[in-house]
Amino acid sequence: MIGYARRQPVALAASEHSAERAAGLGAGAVERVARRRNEPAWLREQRLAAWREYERSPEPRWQRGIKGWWLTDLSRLRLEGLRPVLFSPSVTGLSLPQGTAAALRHQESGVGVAEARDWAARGLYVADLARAVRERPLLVGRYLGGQAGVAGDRLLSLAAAFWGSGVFLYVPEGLRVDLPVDVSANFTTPAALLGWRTVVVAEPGSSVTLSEEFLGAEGTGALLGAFSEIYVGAGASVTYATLAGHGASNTVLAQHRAIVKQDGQLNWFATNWGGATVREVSEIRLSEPRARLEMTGAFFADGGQQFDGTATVVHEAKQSAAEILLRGVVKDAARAAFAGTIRVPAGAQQVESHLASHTLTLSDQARVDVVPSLEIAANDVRVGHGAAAGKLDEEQVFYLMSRGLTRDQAIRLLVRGFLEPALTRLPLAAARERVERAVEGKI
Amino acid sequence: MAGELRVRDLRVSVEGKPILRGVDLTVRAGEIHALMGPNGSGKSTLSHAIVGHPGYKIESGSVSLNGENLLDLPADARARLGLFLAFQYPVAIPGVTVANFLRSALAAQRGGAPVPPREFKRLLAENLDLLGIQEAFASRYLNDGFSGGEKKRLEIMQMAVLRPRFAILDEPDSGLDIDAVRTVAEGVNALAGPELGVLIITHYQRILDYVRPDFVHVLLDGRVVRSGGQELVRELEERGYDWLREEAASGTGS
Ligand SMILES: Nc1ncnc2c1ncn2[C@@H]1O[C@H](COP(=O)(O)OP(=O)(O)OP(=O)(O)O)[C@@H](O)[C@H]1O
Ligand SMILES: [Mg+2]
Repeated sequence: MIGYARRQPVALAASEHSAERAAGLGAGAVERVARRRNEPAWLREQRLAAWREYERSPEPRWQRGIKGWWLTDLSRLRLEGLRPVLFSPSVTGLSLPQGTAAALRHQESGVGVAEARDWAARGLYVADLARAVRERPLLVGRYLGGQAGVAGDRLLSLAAAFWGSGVFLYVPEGLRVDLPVDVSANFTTPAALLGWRTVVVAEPGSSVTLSEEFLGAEGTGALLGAFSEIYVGAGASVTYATLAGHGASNTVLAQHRAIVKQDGQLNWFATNWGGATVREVSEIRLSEPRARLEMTGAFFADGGQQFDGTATVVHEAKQSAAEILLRGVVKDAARAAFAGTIRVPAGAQQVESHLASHTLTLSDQARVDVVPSLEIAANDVRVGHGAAAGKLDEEQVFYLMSRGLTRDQAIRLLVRGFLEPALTRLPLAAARERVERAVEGKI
Repeated sequence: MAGELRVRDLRVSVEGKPILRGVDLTVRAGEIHALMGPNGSGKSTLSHAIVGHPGYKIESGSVSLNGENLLDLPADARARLGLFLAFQYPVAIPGVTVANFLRSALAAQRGGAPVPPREFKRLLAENLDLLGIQEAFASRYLNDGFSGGEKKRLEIMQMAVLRPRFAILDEPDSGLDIDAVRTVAEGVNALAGPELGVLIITHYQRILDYVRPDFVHVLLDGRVVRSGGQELVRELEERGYDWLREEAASGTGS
């Protein structure tokens, strides 16, 4: 069975039991996953708690316009057809891509791993999450689920109960990993329920770059729930890039959470061009003085795609600083929304924070909304936002055409130029090229 | 007709308002024509209409290049036939570097074949040098934050890279300092030759002292009211446009 109906909005099965029967989803199935993987009790309990949350949580109403699901239309999603996918933990050989410290390749057939030995010898630990649970259960237990939360969220709860794989990246104190860690996952199973979890721990004074790329086949109709939990220690620096080229019929829910300690720096890059419906909620806590965030988002939605992004920066400590830069393009009948919030509680003085969003609309049917909000309780701060929404500038198109470029070529150049300020910040050159190609393909 | 840009009885309106009211003009390969005329007389309208700006409505008349009717072609096709306009007000395109833009334009001119990097690098360096533009400009965003004079130089520099058959230069000298006028004029002269036809629009004699036009035309209220040689420039410089206006009003114009 495919996880998508063609048009008709379909209600969830009336009772939990029928949903359970149809999809093999249920507390028993959760137990089986934990048992099959020999997971420690705390992890089994995490999964079961998520399952209970799933059962408790209200069904999201399957139309857009409701609180928290603003704009997102999930009417085509059919939970009862989904099957949890557990990536085979078997490790297959992989040669280390040039210029990387380690690499993971998630395929249906298994997870390929490669790492440069010298980094491992110095304490860098990278593994797919299932393996990390086996190899370093105590370490993983300290961080996994420390930030992620699924309260009240039915779909994320489901993904958390049945998560199959992910990444665990640990950088010990003072280790500066100057080559990126390169992770990619290719989700091809039809009607899959995919739970993905990323944990990055950068101990004080360390630094690391993680590039995480999601790809998916056309027409797999999967539900992907992705969690990331980033821990940036004092004086540490983490660059985290997610490149999301999800399969065209997939529903994607992502929850990103990060905490940055004193003098730590998080450079976060999120780009998205795939998926049918993508909802992404990010929350970054700058929890100690002089913690810094630089967040860059770029997306391109076309066809009937729906992207719904929320980013919240909480300046919990004085002198923390954040800069958010967003560039988004919508085309055809695509819908996108971005809500950016800067929160400065009382007492967090000398905070600097800025949110800048630019959107480009390439057709009359496409729509994109940006809603910035500033919640500021401290008085000695520099906080602001700027939003610019525009259509294709016909004078620019004409200028380029007058030099011989066809209209298509001109638009391609303009869209690339529009996204350029965001894309240049991508840490992996090869990944940047893939994004650029994907974007070109859409124009 | 080979080797000529031919405008016949061209009538153009903008947002319903008639601007050009029957313009005739022929520029042959190897010739340099100057077009002068008061502000608002329609000079830029003419240049936009010739290169195919969609905002200018052609009411009647014809424009042809080497015998081929241009009016049915979109701007890019006209450019690929060898038509070029150095804009009076070039637009800025943030995010697109000068080098990237020129590489795309050159490839488009050559039928889509990518330009070999080595050749492109040489072309770029040579022509930046020709117009006295620092090499660093190649990696700046197109016209973004450029000074007025820098934009004008870059327009002529593009012409040098793209090598059109017919070039319309819409006030390439306005806003330029004295040395820059000479640099731009020398750039134009370096490109001029038996293969190139040039229509240069200007308000000032100075650039025409360097780029010596074979013909000078005056556009007034959407019509060419007088044509002559270099001496006409001097006459306009001394007398202004009123006498032509009076002549036009009394129907005694040439
Ligand atoms: N897009 C437009 N919308 C409205 N009016 C326009 C537009 N473009 C040109 N016009 C009008 O057409 C007339 C001719 O303008 P044009 O720019 O061709 O003059 P010009 O001879 O180039 O003047 P200048 O010497 O000042 O550059 C002017 O009255 C101008 O206001
Ligand atoms: Mg003008």
